[in-house]
Amino acid sequence: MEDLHIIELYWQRDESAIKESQTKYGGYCSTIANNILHSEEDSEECVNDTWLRAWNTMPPEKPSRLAVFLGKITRNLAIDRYRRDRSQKYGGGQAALCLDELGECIGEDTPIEDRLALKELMNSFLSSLPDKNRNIFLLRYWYMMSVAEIAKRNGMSEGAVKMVLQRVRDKLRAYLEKEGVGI
Amino acid sequence: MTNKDILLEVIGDAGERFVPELTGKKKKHSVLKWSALGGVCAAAVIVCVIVLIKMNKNESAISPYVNLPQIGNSNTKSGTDKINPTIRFGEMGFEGLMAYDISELDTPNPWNPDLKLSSLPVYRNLAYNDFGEMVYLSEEQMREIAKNTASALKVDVIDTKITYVKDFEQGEVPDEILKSIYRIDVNCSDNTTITVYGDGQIKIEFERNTLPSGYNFSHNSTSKEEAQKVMNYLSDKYGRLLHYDNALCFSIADRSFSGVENRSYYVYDRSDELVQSILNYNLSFSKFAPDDNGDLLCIWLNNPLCVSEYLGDYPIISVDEATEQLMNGKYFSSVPGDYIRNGRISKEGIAKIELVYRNNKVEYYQPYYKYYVELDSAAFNMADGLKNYGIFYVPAIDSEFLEEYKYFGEY
Repeated sequence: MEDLHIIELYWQRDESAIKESQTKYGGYCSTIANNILHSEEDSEECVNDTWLRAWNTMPPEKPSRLAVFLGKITRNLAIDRYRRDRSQKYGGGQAALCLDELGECIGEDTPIEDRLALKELMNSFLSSLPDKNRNIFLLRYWYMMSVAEIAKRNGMSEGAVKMVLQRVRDKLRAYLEKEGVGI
Repeated sequence: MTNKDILLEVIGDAGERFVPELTGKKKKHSVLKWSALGGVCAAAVIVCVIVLIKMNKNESAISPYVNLPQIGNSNTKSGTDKINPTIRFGEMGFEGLMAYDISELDTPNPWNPDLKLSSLPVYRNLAYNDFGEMVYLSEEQMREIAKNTASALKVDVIDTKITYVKDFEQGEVPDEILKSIYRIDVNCSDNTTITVYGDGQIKIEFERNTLPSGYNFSHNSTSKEEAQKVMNYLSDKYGRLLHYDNALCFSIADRSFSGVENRSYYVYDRSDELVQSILNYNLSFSKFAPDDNGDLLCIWLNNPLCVSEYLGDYPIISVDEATEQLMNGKYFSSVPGDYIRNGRISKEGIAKIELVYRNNKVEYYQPYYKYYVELDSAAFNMADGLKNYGIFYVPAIDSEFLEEYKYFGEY
């Protein structure tokens, strides 16, 4: 079913929207959740929660890219769950590794207060990247995909992917430092 | 939360245009014209464009529903069964329409508050069940509908796929429902797909159906006048399929929180007989949808009365009586009470009243007075001047003929 139809079902408050979402994007959202949580059971719960959250937000929202819209919900839910369980050393997925890596890009001395400004900076930074590097960066830190998966997907060696990620992180750190964020 | 946690969150908010596809499936159509909105379009609104068209029906064409019972209102009777008026809204979200002014929400509803109707027909939806799967038609009936639809479109049927409820439903659902057909998908010679659902609804999806130059068909960048022109063209082109005597076309444009329009396109068969017109407008209408490129993506045909049982004509209350009930909190609505100005609906807050039949998985097709009430704008982060109208329903059937029920908004 076309995305527009699925969105329309949400807007018509037709619960088959959830069925259609599950059919078309269940696997996609499971992948995202599992990347973060590394637990089939927890991922399934996150994906189920995704449909409810989508139901709650459409209307009023009408996403231009349903996959990304649903994926973002799953990602946020999975990160919340990861945080909730982190103190119990639960999970062990890519989230912990991603967080460690991102720690290279930003200091902790000055707490970030203006998230909107950081979001604008991030979008500006992403737009400055070559397509290939930006995709690799987002596969890693948006989808939280493993380096091995990214390498396979892009026909690259794991070493080459790590190199790209390292360079983009270095560039991001320099960019944020220049803008005075999280020094 | 540490700075790196925040950074991880902010990356999650990256502009959608940056996020790579993961599904590996290429989009069939390219860029949405309104993608610049960041994917946040919203709410409902309506600017109506009305045009009456004498249909150019081909004599050889037959209605997709030709072999199903067609309920007219020629043999009327008084209803005696008690009707359950309860509306179930689903679990979350609320029904609201945003507009800069209520006049933007004008619709071609054949009913208006000046009409004095004393009774209206009520139907039992035979496809309704407590398990939420709208199933009723037999395989033979659904195949017939699909075949007639293909014939009206002048395409050949290539193959057919049947989806039963049991294919996706589990749990405590009775066998009778699990074995019912949820839908039939028919692939046609020009790659058009016709889907017939168990309640008789038809969806026709086109692979690529480009409109001639000069037509602007979109959700977000089509004016009222352009929409009228598009619908004139489409309702004429698909006259064989619609099989309407007098097609009345209208477009519905809604606005997002930022004030951007989102337009939908409809047509129904306007009858000289008022009650039939009301039924056609609310229940037996068709909807046309554009894709991202301005081509015709799909057509939805609705005809729920073909799977309904006529229960009789029931006396209805007046608008004034219904308004009194509304003000006393006797209504059905999904609008949270917090959004109502001062926590109580006032006469001044009522911006518009319609009489409607709801058609969304209901047990009975029955009339309701539909109220558009301006909500507390402070509750929403909207563009300057934009108003949010919450929707409230009051049953139109005289309470003597209604089962006992509890209003959602009862004070």
